[in-house]
Amino acid sequence: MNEGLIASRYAGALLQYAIEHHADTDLYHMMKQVADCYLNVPDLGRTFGNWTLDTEKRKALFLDLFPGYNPQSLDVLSNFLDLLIRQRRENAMHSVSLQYADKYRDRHGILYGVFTTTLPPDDGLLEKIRNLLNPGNPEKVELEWKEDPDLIGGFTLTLGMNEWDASLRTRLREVGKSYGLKEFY
Amino acid sequence: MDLMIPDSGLLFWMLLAFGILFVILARFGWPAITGMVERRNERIDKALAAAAAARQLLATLKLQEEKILQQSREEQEKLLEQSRALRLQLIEEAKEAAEKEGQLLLDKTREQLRLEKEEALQEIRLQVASLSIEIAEKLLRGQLEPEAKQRDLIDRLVDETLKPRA
Repeated sequence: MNEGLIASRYAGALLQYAIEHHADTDLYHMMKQVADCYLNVPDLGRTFGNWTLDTEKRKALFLDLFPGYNPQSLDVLSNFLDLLIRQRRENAMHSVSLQYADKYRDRHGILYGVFTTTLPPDDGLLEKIRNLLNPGNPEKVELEWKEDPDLIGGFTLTLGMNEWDASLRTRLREVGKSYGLKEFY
Repeated sequence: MDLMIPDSGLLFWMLLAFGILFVILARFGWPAITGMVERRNERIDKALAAAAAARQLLATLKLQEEKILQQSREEQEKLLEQSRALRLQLIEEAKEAAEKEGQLLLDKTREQLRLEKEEALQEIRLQVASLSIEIAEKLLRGQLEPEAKQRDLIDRLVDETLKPRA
């Protein structure tokens, strides 16, 4: 069966389960962190999927990430990890975390965007962007900041299928292309 | 002297013997000899006629030979003339082909040189463009070194990019 479809079904079930236990928002933050961990720790998926390791130890890989969270939310996550391990679907965890976040945002009408600049933006700038993206309900815009010194200056903003590229790197690249430079940057 | 005077009886017998001998020779000897001489004469005549005919034939053959030789010489002259013409034609053709080939080579070389030149110019243009952009990048980085300027730029670009146009 399609991995994406499996992950989507698990993510949908987890969202329902979390809503029933009033832990959907906590789970949203947890799942975002889990997704980041999967990107930054390449061995995480292999370790979590290693059947020779004790179940509790494997669950602890994730549960130990969230020490200050509500115990009820941690129980929800723990039970979900139990389910995944029981069903031997550990390899779907990364996709589940991503799809949970998507489903949560869909459910709450949150616009999620990635704002990339060369230095951290101040709160005023982020607030302005939120207002520009959703003037009626700026608090429903969630912006994640990423640093990219290669941009030279300016910014890029990705929001769903839309992308705004106002970086100096891209401007210079366009100038290079106009001069016939095939590969620049 | 008696020895010098013939005796009539001896004379008679001598004449008789001579007569008999003469008759025999006339009857059997001379015809055979004359026949033989005639046959020889005939053979000689025939040989002489054959020799004359041969001479005649030889003369004819010589004429023919002369004629053939003349024809051969003419033919040879004609062939030499043809081969001279052919040689000249071939030389002319080869010259034309060589000139044509040379022209083609010249054109091709000129075209290649033109392309080389264009490529070199393009290369220079690209290098200049690349250098210009690198310099521009360094200048921009230098200008945006102060954090405030970088923030101003981001702020302005956010306004330009995200603000709905009137």
